[in-house]
Amino acid sequence: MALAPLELSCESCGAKLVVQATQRTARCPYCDSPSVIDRPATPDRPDPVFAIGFSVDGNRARQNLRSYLNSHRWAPSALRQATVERVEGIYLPAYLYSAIADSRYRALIGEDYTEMEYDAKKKSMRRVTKTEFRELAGRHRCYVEDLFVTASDGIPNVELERIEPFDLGGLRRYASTMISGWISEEPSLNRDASLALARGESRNDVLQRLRSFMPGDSHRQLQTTTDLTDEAMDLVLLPVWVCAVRWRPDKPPIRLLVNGQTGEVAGDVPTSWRKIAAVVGAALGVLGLAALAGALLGWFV
Amino acid sequence: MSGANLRCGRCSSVISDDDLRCPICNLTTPVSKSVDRANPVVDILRCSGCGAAMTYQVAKRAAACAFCGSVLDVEHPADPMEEAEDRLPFTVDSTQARHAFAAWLGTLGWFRPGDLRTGARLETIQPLRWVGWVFDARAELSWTADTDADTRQADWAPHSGTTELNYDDVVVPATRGLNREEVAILLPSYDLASRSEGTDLVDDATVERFDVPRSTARIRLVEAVDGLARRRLGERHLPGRRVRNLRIATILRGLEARRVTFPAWVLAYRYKDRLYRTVLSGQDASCLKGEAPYSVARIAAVVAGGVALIALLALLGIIL
Repeated sequence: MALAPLELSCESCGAKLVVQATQRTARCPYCDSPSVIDRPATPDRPDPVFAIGFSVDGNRARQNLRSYLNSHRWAPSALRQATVERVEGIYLPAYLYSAIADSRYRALIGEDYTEMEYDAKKKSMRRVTKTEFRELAGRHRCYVEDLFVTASDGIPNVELERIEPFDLGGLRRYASTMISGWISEEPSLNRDASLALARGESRNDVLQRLRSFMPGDSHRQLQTTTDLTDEAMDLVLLPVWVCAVRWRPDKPPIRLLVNGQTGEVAGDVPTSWRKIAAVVGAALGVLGLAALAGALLGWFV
Repeated sequence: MSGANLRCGRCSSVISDDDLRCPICNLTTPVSKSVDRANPVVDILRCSGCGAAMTYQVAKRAAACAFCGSVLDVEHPADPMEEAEDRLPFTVDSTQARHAFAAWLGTLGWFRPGDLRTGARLETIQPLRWVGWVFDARAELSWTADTDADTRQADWAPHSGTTELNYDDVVVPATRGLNREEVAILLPSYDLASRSEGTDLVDDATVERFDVPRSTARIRLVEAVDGLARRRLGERHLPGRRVRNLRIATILRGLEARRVTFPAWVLAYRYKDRLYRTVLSGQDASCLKGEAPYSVARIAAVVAGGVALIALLALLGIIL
């Protein structure tokens, strides 16, 4: 059920304000006073526990966006030259997840050994490396920690992952002083959806760990099952600069994100097939010219 | 150890009341404030100086007033350089230390100068309390390794297992004043049960400081636990005699560390214009690690004698 917008009076000038249910902060359009709204906590919209403050200001975010676009040589020229206009600093809601991962695994572990074999062609003995596969099963228990998943249906998890990592040394207990004057969203993804994302990421993380946990010279047929217990998930507000770049009137703008703590930029920059076709065409033209010149000069006679 | 400690709800490790998260398993520490709001509360931060609204400013990393510049500091997690909590008492006084030192000089063997005992001049004798952590913890280890047990064609066979290790009163030195060898010699001499108990014979000792903040100290402790786990697993729990590719996953629980000072006497003596250093346990005078000169003349005499003996034997061989 969509939550109703909140109507309130500005504490400074008394003007009526309408704050969308997805927003945690507001600015009065008449007197520019910044408000922070603390709504009653619900399971899907808990109170923030932590926040990471912005360390990158708007100017640096714009510079980083400019360099990011310039670094994409195969992007359409119109996009590379597009002006970065509106850049919004937003505190994005995300969950910080941790748990104990208890896994059972089974795999075939390859142990290499060498043997002397007769080489009929060379009529001599030669040393060959062979692999003996032995079955290994066992248990692996570890902590899964410091994992962020989005709590916003506006910014999907894959987009958030691209501007990670955030330095958890900058984690502070949430206080309205950290977001006053900035746009801050309330969680818009329900908690179960975020939890499912976190569990999926955790299982992937544990699988990676299990791959490097296997002994031997190689392994194959790794099968694992992982239970996650002692789970904890806390709402964190992450600093993100969001920028929509419109580069052609007939195309939708592309969205770029800048990590407001580290300055890391990410986004889907399209490739210009015209540019690629032009370069391939030019290369073919040069080759054709060279072949023609060669034919005329009798190189291939 | 002290019972009034806050403990993590997941791994039972001791946490400080100003920790944001457990340093071992990263579980968020409980927050005391819990305000049940029935209705939304709208908050405008006001500058206490001029009454203007305050906003978070990137350059200041805090909420600040754009008009008068006053700043509302964000609460920063504490990461202090911490002092020692417990001390082991000196049970060896300076007289006993001097006697032990003199006796030690006489036991160094024939390769030392003959006049070392009479020629060594004690320059300084300083009581020192060096610092270290003493910790308790439990570790649940999952491990895999290749060992030479149960092999077939290859020289190695894969093994896996889980092992629980308990650590009681394990010392991790944090001293910069003493070197690793000195610490290794002194450690067995200390009675850890005597912490903050018993009569202390020395009260003017130099007390070393922990020169790392709390966060670094915890990293060093966890590294120490991992290193110890690796050693203990290798020594006692793995099958076979040779091991490679040992991989360990750890669930550390109940980590409780105390910062302790350990008593030692540091002696500097001069022999023929060179200074030598000796360190002696403040709880057992016979536990001592020191530097001492060698007698070049005596070593040369032995080498020459050996060469002469070999030559003599060779000559006898030729003659016979």
